[in-house]
Amino acid sequence: MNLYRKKHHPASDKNLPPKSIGPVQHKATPAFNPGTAASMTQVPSQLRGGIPTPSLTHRVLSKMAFGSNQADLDHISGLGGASEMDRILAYIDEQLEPDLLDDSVVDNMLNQGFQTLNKTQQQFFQQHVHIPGGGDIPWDVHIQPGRETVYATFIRAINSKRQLQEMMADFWHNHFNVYMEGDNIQPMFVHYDRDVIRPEVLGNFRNMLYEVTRSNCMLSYLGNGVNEQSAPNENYARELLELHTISAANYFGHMPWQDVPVDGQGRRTGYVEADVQELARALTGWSFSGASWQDYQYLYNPPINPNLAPTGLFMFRSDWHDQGIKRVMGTDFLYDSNNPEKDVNDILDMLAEHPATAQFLALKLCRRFIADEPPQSIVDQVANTLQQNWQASDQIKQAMEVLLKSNEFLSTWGEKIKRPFEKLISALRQIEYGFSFDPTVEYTNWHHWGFMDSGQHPFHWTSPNGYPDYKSHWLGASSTMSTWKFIQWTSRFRDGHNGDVPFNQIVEITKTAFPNPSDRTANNMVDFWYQRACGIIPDSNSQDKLAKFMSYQDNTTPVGSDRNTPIDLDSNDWPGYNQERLFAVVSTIFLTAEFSYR
Amino acid sequence: MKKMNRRKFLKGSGLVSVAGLGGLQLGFANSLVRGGSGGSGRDLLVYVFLNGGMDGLNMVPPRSGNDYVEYSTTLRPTLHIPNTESLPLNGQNAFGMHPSATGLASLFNSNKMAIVHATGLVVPNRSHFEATRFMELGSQSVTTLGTGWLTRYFNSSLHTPDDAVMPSIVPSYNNTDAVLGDPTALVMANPQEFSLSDGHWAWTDEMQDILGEIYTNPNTLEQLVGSQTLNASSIIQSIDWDNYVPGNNAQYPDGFLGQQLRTVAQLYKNDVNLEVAYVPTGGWDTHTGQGTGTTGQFADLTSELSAGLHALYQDLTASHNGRFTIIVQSEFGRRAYENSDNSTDHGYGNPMFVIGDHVNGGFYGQFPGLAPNQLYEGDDVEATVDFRDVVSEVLLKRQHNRFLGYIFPGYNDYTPLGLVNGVELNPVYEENYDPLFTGTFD
Repeated sequence: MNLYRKKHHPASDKNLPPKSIGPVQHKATPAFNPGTAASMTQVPSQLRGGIPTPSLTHRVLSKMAFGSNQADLDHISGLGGASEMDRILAYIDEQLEPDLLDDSVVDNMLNQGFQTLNKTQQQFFQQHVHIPGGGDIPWDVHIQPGRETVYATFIRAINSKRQLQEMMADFWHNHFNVYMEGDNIQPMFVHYDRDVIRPEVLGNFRNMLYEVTRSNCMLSYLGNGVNEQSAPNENYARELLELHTISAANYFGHMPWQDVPVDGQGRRTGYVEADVQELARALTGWSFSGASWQDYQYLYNPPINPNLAPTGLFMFRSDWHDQGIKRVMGTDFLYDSNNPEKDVNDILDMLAEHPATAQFLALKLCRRFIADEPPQSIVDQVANTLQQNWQASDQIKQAMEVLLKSNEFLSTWGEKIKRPFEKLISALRQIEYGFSFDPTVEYTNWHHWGFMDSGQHPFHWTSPNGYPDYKSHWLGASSTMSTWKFIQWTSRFRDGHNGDVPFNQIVEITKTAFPNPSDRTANNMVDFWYQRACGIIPDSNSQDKLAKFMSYQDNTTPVGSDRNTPIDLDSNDWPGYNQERLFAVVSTIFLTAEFSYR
Repeated sequence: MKKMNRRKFLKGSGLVSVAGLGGLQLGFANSLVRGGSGGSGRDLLVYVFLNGGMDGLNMVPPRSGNDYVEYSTTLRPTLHIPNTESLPLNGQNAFGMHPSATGLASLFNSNKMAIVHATGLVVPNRSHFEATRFMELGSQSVTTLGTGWLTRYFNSSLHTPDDAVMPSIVPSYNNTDAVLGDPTALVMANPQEFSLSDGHWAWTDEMQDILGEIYTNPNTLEQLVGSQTLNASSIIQSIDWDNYVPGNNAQYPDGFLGQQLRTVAQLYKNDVNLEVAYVPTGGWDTHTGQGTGTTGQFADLTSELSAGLHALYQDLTASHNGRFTIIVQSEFGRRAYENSDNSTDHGYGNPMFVIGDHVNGGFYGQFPGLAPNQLYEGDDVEATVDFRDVVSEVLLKRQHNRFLGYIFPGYNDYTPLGLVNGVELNPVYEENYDPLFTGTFD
């Protein structure tokens, strides 16, 4: 593997793939990598310089959406209400009912070149994992559903009017993280995204937990598909308690369960090692068709009957299931031969109802939308809403309404930064990036590989805890530089199959903002794009440097002090490359710290 | 592409300008208490962390006696490494090395490697995320620390030059809590890609300059990180990564780990004051598909690890004999008995490796045994050595930092094992140690 490829110096401004694309691409990591734990730090206080605060609308769109775009700004300003706050509250109400929002732009894009989004779970297995009767599956067919999910995710994040729904899908995907490049995950990933996560992103946690537990994606990823009573595999059981429900904060380690404190309602307030082992016993036999070597034995019994081929669907294997009593967190759960899923279902009920689960989910939601260390008061309010409505079909929507209409959400700024995916998408929304992400177009693949090094490619976190949601994790040079580079690349990427037309709308947006060509000066254009992107006017140093750059008359000589001379945006000729120069100035604004706050 | 040499870098460096921000810049204390040494201060410490829980029982399998009987018949009838296949290690026949770890066996048999049996956290924890975080933060008792153990190592390091250019690197895409709170730690996966080279060719350099000017005088953490990224990019571009010839013609393995280790070696040799490299490498969580013998996931990882460490040793010893120490650790070992998928779940005690020219090769620590009454809760290899004893010995004797109580809060019973040669300093256990104050009396 040639990891030290020669530096590539572009000899022209021709369309090129991102530099990180090489002849040999990224090696899939075997199994998952627990990576690094999330960080607990606050920003060192001595570095807390003042951050200017943008408008309420800019703040809210940066926090509950993937950044603002002109269409959403126009839409919000057209909502009824006497004040900006009235309009924002109306916007939140709309976002909490995503099905009522027209999303035909996205629907149309998902009809261009996508071939797997409507297949059934069994079709994914029998067309992309194992063909009944046997037969080779080319690699690109094997991974096609996974790739199409990634591209659909880009399309939705950039273009969907249902921005909160997309943020929530991202949240729950990370909460129930499955590493896409694990064995046989990519062929099934449309199913995981479409059938398991998305139906309940603003719905009911218990329903999602059940679907996750039955999904062959999670069953493969955390090994429960081969969990037999003879020697239980604890992997899923442990993460189910630690990462999905009760949380590590309530893990009492190697302690007798009797010593775990009891709350006012008689619940054990946490779990111990023995609970992990008991839950692993309960989950024995929760498998899927195709998880066991026995499911492929039909191939060795001629004549081969394809109807006996594994389906990938959930399968309860009663001979693998431990039928004894399981004592989890002090409660005994009994096996019922008439309803063999009952013991696990009763445990899932206990976990989904448990206040520790509600606290954990609330903390993570508040951490996602408010601050790394959110105030306990709002966490408690969200947790109470979750816990009291744990059986409601709109449980999560109710909790999100409490969160999004709280003062803690509406008033804060800069407590969070955009992680690489959010930073990229918010830049692409700013420039109204028109790329299709059609899976049959070669450029789509370039985006897939080009963004990989950012450290936050969708569904590519290897360990089950999901991408970290702390600032400190993302304040590293590697992730920063890789994300910068990809923004730099997309901001000037052109359609080589269609007259080299850029995919961005930077020139068009600028012309609309300054209909009179005499207003298209370096100063005006810098001020316009900076305010649009960052929500604030640039400080004098940033304004000075960006306007100097914009006013270069060739590739090395600045015009000097005159930044009020109109620049011809219809020209992209040597030596000024006016259009390219504007692309560069706009992308540089996306690389500032001010653009990263949310 | 603009090249920037170190001198030019230092002149305009963000590392200098952030000094006014108070205490975060590494040499802050040192300049007051002791002049910077100017060159690479001390030994390079390379800390390789095997994320996921490396299966130490198959990495260093028993070869004889009751432990071998328990291991090969009761605990791991399918998964064990037969003593006819494990590699023999000098001077004893109790333990061998995984057959894919030929490089490690070679290092051990030439007395360049110590194996410490049964290390672990003082309080067992089978959660990856908890155990890893405790190790990265350097404390199990204080979980709200805002700094990692390596951050505190540097805060209390009296010899690190005050003008250290690049004292620590994490060659990874992901940050680690070991350097939490130290924005000068460079997290960089791929030096070849570490420049703003995806813009229009006409102003590639100018765009980086403009951005650098915008990031001048950072006053938020986000601005500081941007500034550091640009400064680091300038340094990285001044190094010729293409034409590197490792010492002793060492062959780094293909793959990311080989790239990580080679990056460390190249940086160390380029006089940027590199003192610590923290190298995370994953894939060790073998609940399924672990494999037996020299096939399967565990053997593949072991082969890559072994070849990588062997190459790093060969490369560095050629030019920096006796000037580096490699420590290898995982968050925990795995369950002593195999699971239903011929693989292993999370466990506890696990071997650590220490590699270097000044290492006293051999086995250290007490192996607790594999009989049912010897296993921790009947499940896991017991831990008999506090992992902090291993790290601390290297910190004291090779890195010349004795502020162990500050680096590892709650730690107060350092017990040297005799792993490495060096001057034995008296440990200081004061947790609220102030490098400025203590330093004046040092």
